[in-house]
Amino acid sequence: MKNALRKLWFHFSILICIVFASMQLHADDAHYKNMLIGERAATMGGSYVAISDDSTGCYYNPAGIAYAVGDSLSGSGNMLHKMKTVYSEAIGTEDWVRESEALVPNYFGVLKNYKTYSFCFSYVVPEAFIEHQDLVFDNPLSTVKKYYQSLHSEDITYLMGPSAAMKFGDSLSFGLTLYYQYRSFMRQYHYFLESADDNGYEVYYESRKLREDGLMPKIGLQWSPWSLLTVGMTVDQSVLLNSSFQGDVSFHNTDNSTGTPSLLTLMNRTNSEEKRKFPLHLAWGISYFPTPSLLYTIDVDYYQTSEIGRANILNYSGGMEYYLNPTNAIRFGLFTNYTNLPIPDSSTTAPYEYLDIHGASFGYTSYSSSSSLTLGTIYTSGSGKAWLYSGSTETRKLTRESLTLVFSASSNL
Amino acid sequence: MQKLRNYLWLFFSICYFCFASSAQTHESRLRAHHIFWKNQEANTDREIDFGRGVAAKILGKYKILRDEKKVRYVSQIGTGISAQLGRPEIRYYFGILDTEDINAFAAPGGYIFVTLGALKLMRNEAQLAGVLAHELVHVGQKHIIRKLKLQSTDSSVTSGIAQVLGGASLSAKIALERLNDLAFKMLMEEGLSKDDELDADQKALEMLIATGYDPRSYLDFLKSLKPHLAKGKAVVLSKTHPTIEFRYSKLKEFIKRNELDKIQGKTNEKRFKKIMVSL
Repeated sequence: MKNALRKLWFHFSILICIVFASMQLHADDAHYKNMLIGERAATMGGSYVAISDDSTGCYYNPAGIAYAVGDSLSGSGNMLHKMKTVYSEAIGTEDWVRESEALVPNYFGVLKNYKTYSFCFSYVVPEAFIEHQDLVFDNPLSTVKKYYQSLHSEDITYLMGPSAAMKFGDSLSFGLTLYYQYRSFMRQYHYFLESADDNGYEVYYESRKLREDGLMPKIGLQWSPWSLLTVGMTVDQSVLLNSSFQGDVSFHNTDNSTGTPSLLTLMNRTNSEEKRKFPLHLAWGISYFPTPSLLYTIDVDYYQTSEIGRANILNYSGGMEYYLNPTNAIRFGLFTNYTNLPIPDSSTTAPYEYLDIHGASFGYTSYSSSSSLTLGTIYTSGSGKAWLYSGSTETRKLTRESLTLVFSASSNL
Repeated sequence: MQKLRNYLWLFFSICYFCFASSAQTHESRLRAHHIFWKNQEANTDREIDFGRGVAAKILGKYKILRDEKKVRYVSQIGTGISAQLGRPEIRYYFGILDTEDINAFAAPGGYIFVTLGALKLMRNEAQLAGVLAHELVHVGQKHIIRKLKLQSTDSSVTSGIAQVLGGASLSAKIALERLNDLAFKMLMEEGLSKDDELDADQKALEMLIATGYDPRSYLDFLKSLKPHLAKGKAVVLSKTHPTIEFRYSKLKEFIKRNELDKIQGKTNEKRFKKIMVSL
């Protein structure tokens, strides 16, 4: 009996390790559209490839900045980016809830026109996951009296760099952006486990740090086959120049159940310079401008994977903009954020999370003669399955919701 | 060779199609706010052009006072108070008309005049600020343009002027001259509507309070006009404005309604007298 209990406890320890092993080095590298950027773009579901006629265009389609009206300075921030992921009944009968909260100024751009040329410098934060969690479970299993965990994680990707665009006539433009890509990731995870019979303790500590430096060139094209219609296309791919990882793990187990105290201590450091491979990203967009007060836009994003174990995916987005009057506009958008992992089958084992996400956005902008102010909200929701237990095909229901409040301002120079 | 020629022909045809198919593309991409503010900007330019013509007519009737010190002082007070108007796109010009007739004028586009007769009657800077504020409100609220009933079907009140001034034809120039005459006649004979004058009085009072001037001084000035009107020293003013009693009582109501009677502000009497000592 004692042995059986010890086995259960041991399995629980493994479970915990595996749950957190599933938190890969990247907070969410299974999705490409976790944060929408910009003023108009973010509130139209990120569908902006065929518009991009402001400094946000540096990120969506540098060709579009050739059609920007005047010089401008723009900035936007997510007043709140809150994400909640729930693994149903992951720890005994209890759900494991992960919450990420970030308050990030995620876009800044300055745009200048010179004759048929446009130049821009932009700073973008396309990914930001910040998670601070302290959880205590009392009696989560019959063999476990107390389980405490502390998790502090930050994973932020930054892009910054210049863009240039050139207009050929009034219907064709070409643009280029060269971003320097920098990613900083750190995670500290600690847990403490006490057995139900008061004879065993386990302490685990993990610290991981990763820094990535790279380049992301983006080429864009915009063409208007008809005065009310614009099509756009972009191609980009990130290439890492440097990647340095360091991981430290320490584990301490005390077992007094046999009468003879048994101690187990492990310490390990891992270093790696292996570089991730990013997908080739192609985006197409089409926008229809029936009146100065109305526009419709649709984008398709295709990601061709360069990594084994990833799938090629298509994401879709669409939006509309409507002016209530010349100084007040509202926008709507819908978008998908599909997982880049292959469809699971009977041989799929942990760690694995299969989650497709859908999102909706809404925004309001007030314009004055030289500036604009946008307030918006983006909501996403998705459900799927998570394979949490080591070597097991057993799954748990996985749901994710996020809410983002967007605040943007732009001013003419 | 024939094949190459065909490809080249196809390539240049596509290029031509791309380049020439939509000359209006950029225009159709402009959003409602771009068009609106572009029109506003154009209308402001035209309003200024129009006002310049009206100001020229005022200066044709009255001589301008060439006293740099006094004009600079009036400009400083007027410019300071104009910040309350909310029309930063307009640059305001201030002048003193060399006439004993007590009055002040505002031409569209930011041309403000006060007469020497009015300055002589004033006792402090707050009174001057009040009179200038009253005239500034006429500009800010486009009272003359509204009275000329130039409103078009769209929301821009100056689009009628825009239509007239936008044209370079002889008929457009004649129409503009006619508009200038009408505006001048309004300033000298007909006056603005009673509501516009009361609006200017009330907003002037708000501007005085916002800039820290004593609001009562403006009422005192209005009161001081009464005997001079009776003596015929403000002929144009009496023709073009509601009676002083009416304006005064309406302002008192406004003050009471908004509980402004306890507000006190600066009068800068000493500074005013120092500058205007030679009057």
